[in-house]
Amino acid sequence: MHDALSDERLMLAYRDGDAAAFDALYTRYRTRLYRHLAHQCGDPRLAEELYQDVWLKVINARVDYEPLAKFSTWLYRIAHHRLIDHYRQHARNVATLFDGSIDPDELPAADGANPARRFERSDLASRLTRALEDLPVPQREAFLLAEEGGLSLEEIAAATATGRETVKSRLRYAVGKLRLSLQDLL
Amino acid sequence: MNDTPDDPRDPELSRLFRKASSTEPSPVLDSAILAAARAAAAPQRPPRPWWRRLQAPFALAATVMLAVVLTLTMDRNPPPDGEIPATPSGKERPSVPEQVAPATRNAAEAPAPAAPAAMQGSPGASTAKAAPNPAADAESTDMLGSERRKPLAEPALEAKREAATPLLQKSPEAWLEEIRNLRRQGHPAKAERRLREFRVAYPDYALPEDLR
Repeated sequence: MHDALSDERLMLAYRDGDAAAFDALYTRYRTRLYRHLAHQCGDPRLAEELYQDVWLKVINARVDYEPLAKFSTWLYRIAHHRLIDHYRQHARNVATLFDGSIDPDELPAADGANPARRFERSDLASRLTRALEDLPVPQREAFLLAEEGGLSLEEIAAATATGRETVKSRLRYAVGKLRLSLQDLL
Repeated sequence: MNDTPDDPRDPELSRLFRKASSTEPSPVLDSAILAAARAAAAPQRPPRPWWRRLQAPFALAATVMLAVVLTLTMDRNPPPDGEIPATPSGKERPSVPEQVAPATRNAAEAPAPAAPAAMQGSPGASTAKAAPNPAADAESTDMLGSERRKPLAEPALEAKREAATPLLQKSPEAWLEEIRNLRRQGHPAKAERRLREFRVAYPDYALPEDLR
């Protein structure tokens, strides 16, 4: 019954007290959101904490929910804000990178680029994780929202509160760097 | 989702990315989130009607009001001495005649003898009085004592009332005769005190020669 409903319809049904509607919605976004967060922060334990926080925010915001945007955009915007909060608390230098005023080419790599860990990784997942860790955080976020979230440029721009051209630029740089890092696998 | 011509996504990279992605949230985390969602969506208890919500405060206010009214009523209209129930403790009871008796011994002496006569008259009478308290065998002596004191207490109360009545109710002649009797019986100090009281009560009365 719930499978045929759109995300927004499911969220409205959940707002009106239909707990099963949330189950269906959760199933749709469970893997995508988790992988997005796991690739973003590079720490499974932290990813679980952030993931839980995001869903709890969705649950708590249900009373005031209105389908003003696509549910996916709304969900990833919550995730974006939660990540910014995390960076503000634990990596202030990373949080400042999200204001869009810095040239993507000059953005530094994330702190998660650990040479010792990188040496140990050899399989595909590890190579990909390492390549993502080497990306500046805003570029990585744009790439993950596009790949894991399946969002369009406009939706990424809405979710991250930036302009479409900024998103396009970040995504282009991210794709170029990843292609370079993984060219032997492509 | 390469939806526009200028979208820089790379299909090859996307395929590689999907192939490599395998991480998932733990089932424990799934259960916790779904349980939180269900708890939040659970129907809340309907709000109680206003009269049910105000039931407890109204009951409390009514109790307080009743207590205040009763207290004020008791303060303004205390029950007469005779209606005050006897204290259950036997220790406080004897003090009443002891306190009153010295001042009113003369008045109390007259009705007192009737009581012992009634007590000593028939054993059945004392048995009948003890009947309401069947467990009083061990305390029968004490009970008897208190029964004996009871008639003393009633005249004592009467004497107390008499003492409280204004002295003006006594005629001047009777009062002066009482003073003469006190002198004759060898109580000059008491006679002098009564005479002073007489002068206060009847300041214009011409005292006889023997009392000036």
